[in-house]
This record gives sequence, structure tokens and C-alpha cells, in this order.
Amino acid sequence: MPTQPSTAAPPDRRQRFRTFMRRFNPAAPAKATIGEGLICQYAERSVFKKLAAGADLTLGSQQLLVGGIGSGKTTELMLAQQELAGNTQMVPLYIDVSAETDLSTVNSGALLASLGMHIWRAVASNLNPPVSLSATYKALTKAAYGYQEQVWVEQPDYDPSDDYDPSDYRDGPGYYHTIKVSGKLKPPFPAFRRDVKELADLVSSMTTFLKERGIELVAVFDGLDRLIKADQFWSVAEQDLRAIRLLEVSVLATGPLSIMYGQGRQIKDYFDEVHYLPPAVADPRVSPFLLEVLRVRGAEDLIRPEQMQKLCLASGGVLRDLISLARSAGENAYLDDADDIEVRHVDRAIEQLGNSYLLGLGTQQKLILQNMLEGKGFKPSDAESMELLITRRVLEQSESGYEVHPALAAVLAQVTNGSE
Amino acid sequence: MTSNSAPIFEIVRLIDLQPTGETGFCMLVGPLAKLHLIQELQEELSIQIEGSLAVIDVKGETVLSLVEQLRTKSEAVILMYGFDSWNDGVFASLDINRSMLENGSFLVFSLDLRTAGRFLDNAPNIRSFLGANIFTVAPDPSAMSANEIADRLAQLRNYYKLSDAEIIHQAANRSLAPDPHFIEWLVLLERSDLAR
Repeated sequence: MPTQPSTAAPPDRRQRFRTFMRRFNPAAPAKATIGEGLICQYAERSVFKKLAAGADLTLGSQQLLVGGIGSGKTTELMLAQQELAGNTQMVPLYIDVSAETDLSTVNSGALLASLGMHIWRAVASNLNPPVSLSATYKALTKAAYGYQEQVWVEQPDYDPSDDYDPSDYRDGPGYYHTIKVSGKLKPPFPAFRRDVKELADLVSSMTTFLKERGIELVAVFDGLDRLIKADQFWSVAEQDLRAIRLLEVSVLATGPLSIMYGQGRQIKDYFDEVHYLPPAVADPRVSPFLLEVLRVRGAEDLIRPEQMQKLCLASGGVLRDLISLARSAGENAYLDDADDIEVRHVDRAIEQLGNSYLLGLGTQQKLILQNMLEGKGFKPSDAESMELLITRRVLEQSESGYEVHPALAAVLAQVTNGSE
Repeated sequence: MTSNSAPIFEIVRLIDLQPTGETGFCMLVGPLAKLHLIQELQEELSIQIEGSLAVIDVKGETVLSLVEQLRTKSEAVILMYGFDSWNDGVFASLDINRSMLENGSFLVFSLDLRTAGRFLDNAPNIRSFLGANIFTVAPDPSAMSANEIADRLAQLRNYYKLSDAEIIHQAANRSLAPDPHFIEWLVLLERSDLAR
């Protein structure tokens, strides 16, 4: 039995809102968003031209793009890839590593294996690969996806005393077990693991084939920023990036925000260049960028300019939050049977986003946020504070300035006022 | 009040707005009985959008086995429950592998308040996708008889040792705890305006 007499909207109204939702989907793949022309290229913010220029000018360079969750890193990487693809001598390969392997377990060699498979696809579809390269591809496939082999298993009733050598006898029956004693001098850089070295040799055959034809490769690794802790990121990426550097393949990769802090700074030093993508300027009176983001997606069909400004400010400059807020405001208007997004729908959307940031906050974290709201400052020096940054409850304004996410700040203020 | 409440029929209206073929994300937080929730969601989906529902109990599943299940489902909406059995590391792993969740369905994560907090803290990327789509499932008084409403209100009063007036007062001055039960209480008193 229906629980409501009628919930169906007239088709044209429903279609209007559905069109709006398609343009404001925070989970939409960046590729689709770029393809539909829904992105706003703003010279003061975009870094894709710098990324592309770096790869173009310095063969084998390795650049890292760092930013908070929802800051637009994937879009920048894809735009850089497009830019590089305009050069006929360059083959940029976009690789979403997190879609190809389980990054949650340390898996050195995953970047190399993914790169090798992508190179093969590019070679096989555009060039006529020689037989030797096909053999390399087969070996690479085995290394990438594993294989089965037969191993000899000793019989359980085997009696080792048949092979007993009296000279092995010392103080009693036993056997020698080999252990490794570390030396006092450690190598300055970790040596390559054997399996990574073997994988690199296979990929090298393919890159050499392309180099001989005057083609330069650029590996665009996306998804590594999901490894939100700097040490986690580095344990997965280090061996592979060092091996790829020797292949003279340029690299563009995303990294987590934590690389900008604490011990993450040492990881920064490895890269030739690190580009930081901060939250955008939220106030439309200072920068029109966020308003343009809304306009390019057709927000004006349903939202008035003053409400768009309000959404920009409440997003804190986090692009995905801006998209979420606009979508949520649209949902509220739709459920309210309104034809357009009004002020109450925007206010409700801001409160909803604030509530979602509030969910799961611990007492210590609430205290840190409260202190910030009282002007007592913020230092990302401990785990609790770093988590607030990573989860975007606290946003960077500059290298040393921070603010509570505006949507969360509004909800926290209500909670505080209510309990007084 | 610090939860976004919505009855199932409204959540299904939102699912209807989701562009076909694009993966959607939504979290339902609350203690509503699992079978009741599934049944109501199934009914509303078939009434409003003729959509199909798949249900996955994630208890005992790894992230990769869950992803494998998602890949084989073709239903418009997939509801997942049983997350209370997952430790923080599994949530973090789900977050890292979030690209593998994109299967073109509307994904609904159903969990209790405490587990929701753990989920969101350990999966900041998925939190970002969810945005404001985190709801407490509110009851739909229009589907309940007067006696059913009275019985349920009596249960809540008895359990929390609070009166209706005290709940309304606390909600009005925003000192009511963010508990889905309190939202349900306000909705049954026809004061859902205070649950916002």
C-alpha cells in the first residue's frame, strides 16, 4: 500500500530537477564532468598547465599534486593529460591506481604493473609491436595478475638421516639456519626489491620501444591521495617511483594533504615539484571562481545570485562541498514541491552538510573546534588535529591560517547556544 | 537537533532524482528494525519508480568480496547493512578503494549512530561523496494508526523517562541529543519542524 497519496511531480518539473542533479553530482567521475563542459578553468587557481609544462620540459620529472579531499585534484590531472595529448610526441597515460588494485595493503610494484599494462594497450592499439615485445607483455601480465606453477613437495615419510653428514654434528643433533646480520652502514636509499626490479626491467623494454620511435611517456597516477597518511602513501609509492625515474618516464601523481605536514615534508623533497591545491577563495566578492563554477553548471536555472553567494561562502572553498550544497538545496526544493531553490532550501542544505560533519566528532575534537571558533588558533601538530584537517572539518586558509568549515561552524554555534 | 531526518518515501523521491546509470551515495542512520526498513524501502521503490532493491549483509565480508558482490548486482538501489561488525581498518580500506564502489546503482549504507561515526571518521573520501545525504529514517505517521502512534509514544516515554513536553522543550532550545529515537518521537508528535 502506498504510504503517501501522491508524490509524483509533474514530468517537466521532475525533469528540470533531474537535469540540475545531473550537473550537480558530487560523485560524478571527473572525466564525465570535463566531457560535458561542466568545469570552470580559472587561471589563478588551475595548476594543470604547470603540471603539463613540467612534464613537457623535463623528461623523467616527477611531480606531485597535493590537496584536501574534494579540492579538484583529479580534474586537474585529467586536464593536464588532455593538454599533453595535444603534443603528438607525447603519450600521457591516465591510471586510476585505486581502481586497478587494492591499495589498502602495501603493494610495491602496483604502479609499475599498471603502467606496463597501460603502455602495452597504447602500443598494441597504435603501433605494430614486435614478437619480443609481445613476450614481454605476457611476462608482465603474469607479474601483474599472478600465475599458477607446479612446485615439488617432499614426501612425508622422507628420512633425512639418510643424508646425515657426521661433520655437521657439533654439540648435538641440529642444522644450520642462515640469518642476516645488518651492517653498520645503511644504503642512503632503499634498494629495489627484487620483484620490483624485475617488473621495472619488463616495463623498460616497452618504454625503450617507444623511445626509439621518438615517443615520450607521461604516467598520470591518480588515486594515491586516498592513502591519507603520508607514511602509508610513501610505503606504496616509493619503490615504484624510484624505479620509474630510471625509465625516464615523467610522472604526475596525486598525494594526500598530510604530505604538507610533519614528517610528510621529507616525502615532498623527493619530488621535482609539488603543487598544492588549496581550498578556493570562498567569498565571491574576493574571487568570482566559485560563482563561475555554479554558473557553468547552470545553477542560475534554479538558484538566485544571492543564494549562490551563500552557497559559496558555506562551502569553505571545497569544490565538492559546493557541488553537494547546491545539489542538497535542489533536493530540498524538490521535496518541498517548490519550483525554484529558495533561501530556506539553501539554509537547510548548509545545516545538513554541517550536521554530516558533526557526526562522529569526539569530545577532544569538539574542544579543538570550539577553541578555534573562540579565536584561540589551531596547530596541526597532533593526530586529533590532523584528522580534523584530513576530514575537512578544518580548512587551510594559508600556510599558517586555518578555519572551521563554515557549514560545521554554523551548526556548532547552534549546539553551543542551545546548551547555554 | 543534529541529524537530518526524512521518511523513506522522501528518500525514495531523492533516489528518483538520481540520474540513471550514475552511482549515488546515501547513509541511513538509525535503529529502525532491519526487516521493516527493507520492506518499506522495497514498497516505496516499486510504487514510486518501479525500481528494484538488492540487499547485502556485509557482516563477514571483506572490502574486495563486497566490491565483487556490487559488481554482480544490477538493481537500481543496493542497501548494505551489518557494518557494526567491521573494524576501523576495514572502513579505511573501503575508503581507499572507493573507485571500486562505482557500479551505477544508488548505494545505501544502513547503520547505527555509533557505527556511522566510525565509518565517516575512517572513510573521509566516502564522506565527501555522501555530502549532506546522511539521514535518520523518520517514521511516516500517515502510515500508522492512532493506536500504533500512541503505543510507540508510550514506549519512548517509558524508556527515556521523559514527557512529550520535555522533548519538545529540549528540541526547541536545541539541547536534545542527536539520537534517531528523539527524531522519531518528534515526528510522531507532529513536531518534525523541531527535528530540523
